[in-house]
Amino acid sequence: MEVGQLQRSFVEYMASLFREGFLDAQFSQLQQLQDDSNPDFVVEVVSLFFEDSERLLNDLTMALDQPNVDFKQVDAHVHQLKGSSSSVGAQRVKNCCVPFRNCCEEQNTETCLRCLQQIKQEYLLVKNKLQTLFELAFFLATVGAADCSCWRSNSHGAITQCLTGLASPSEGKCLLNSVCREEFSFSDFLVDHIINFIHQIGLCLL
Amino acid sequence: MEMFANSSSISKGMGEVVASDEPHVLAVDDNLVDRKLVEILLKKSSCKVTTAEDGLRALEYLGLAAHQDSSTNNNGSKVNMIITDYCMPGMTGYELLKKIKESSMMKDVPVVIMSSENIPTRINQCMEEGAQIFMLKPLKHSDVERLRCQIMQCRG
Repeated sequence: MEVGQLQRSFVEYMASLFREGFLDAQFSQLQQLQDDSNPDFVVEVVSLFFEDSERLLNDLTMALDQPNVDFKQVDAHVHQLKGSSSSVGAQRVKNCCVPFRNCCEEQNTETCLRCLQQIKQEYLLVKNKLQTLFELAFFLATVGAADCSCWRSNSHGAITQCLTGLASPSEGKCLLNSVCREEFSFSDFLVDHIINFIHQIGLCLL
Repeated sequence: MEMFANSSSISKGMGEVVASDEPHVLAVDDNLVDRKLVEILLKKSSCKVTTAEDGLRALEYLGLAAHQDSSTNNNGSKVNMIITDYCMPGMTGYELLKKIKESSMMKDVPVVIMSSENIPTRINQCMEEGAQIFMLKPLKHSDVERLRCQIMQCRG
């Protein structure tokens, strides 16, 4: 089974996130901080970022919906969002914050609303990308472990069969689906992503 | 990343017995993500960490809040360094710095100010008030490593 190839594709996927500007060097800093004593550090911090951002985006929506907009308050929220996104390395989200703060200074509700729309889009994009990344990492860790000679469960054989079976997509897909759900209890979200990902990267497993 | 260090040497001179070799740092930041980040960075540099989400809670922890008297707690005497964000609602990091420097018990404890904005007047203001270092966010591991050396020197 081509776990090595899958892993390389995963690394390439991550590299593309940096290349396309979704993530910057600060994200690498977070990765470097993860170790055996803090094994889930990146996921933890990014989850806090999601939680914080969603709260702030809601607050911003409400604040801009008022008849008399409190631009100081709006600016304060954007400042917070800029801080969090900067600290996790969510570059595109962070970059949206600067023009937003300018609009706050100009006290222009309409341009602020446009900025908010933009930032929401960027946030959802990076959230999707990061969630995919984490779940793929989990998948690889699980399947990658299957490559170890010490693991000889049926699951290993079944996954191998599935991935090979992807050469004939529909059959392989069904098999992968059932193994991932039943043997590993992967979520629907993850299974869909695995299938899409494998097809996307055009993995040839023959 | 720039760091601005106060050139005067600071000695802690409190003479209390420290239970372990790990410096105890109080980290103050109203941002959830940044609080987590600074906590991990400090722990990685072998520091014991207490976090506070604003200036008032930080003062309460240290026993310096207006409604407290000196016999409330002795947390302050255990803290080897305070690191605080500048922009916080209610009490800014600068105001917190001033309160700490006004306290006879805590005035010799090094205070580090963090900010995401590089504003020279802000930096000067903090340094003049006695901040040990002014650091730009986002923090990196190397920043905190350097900090730790500073603390260890201070305790010497």
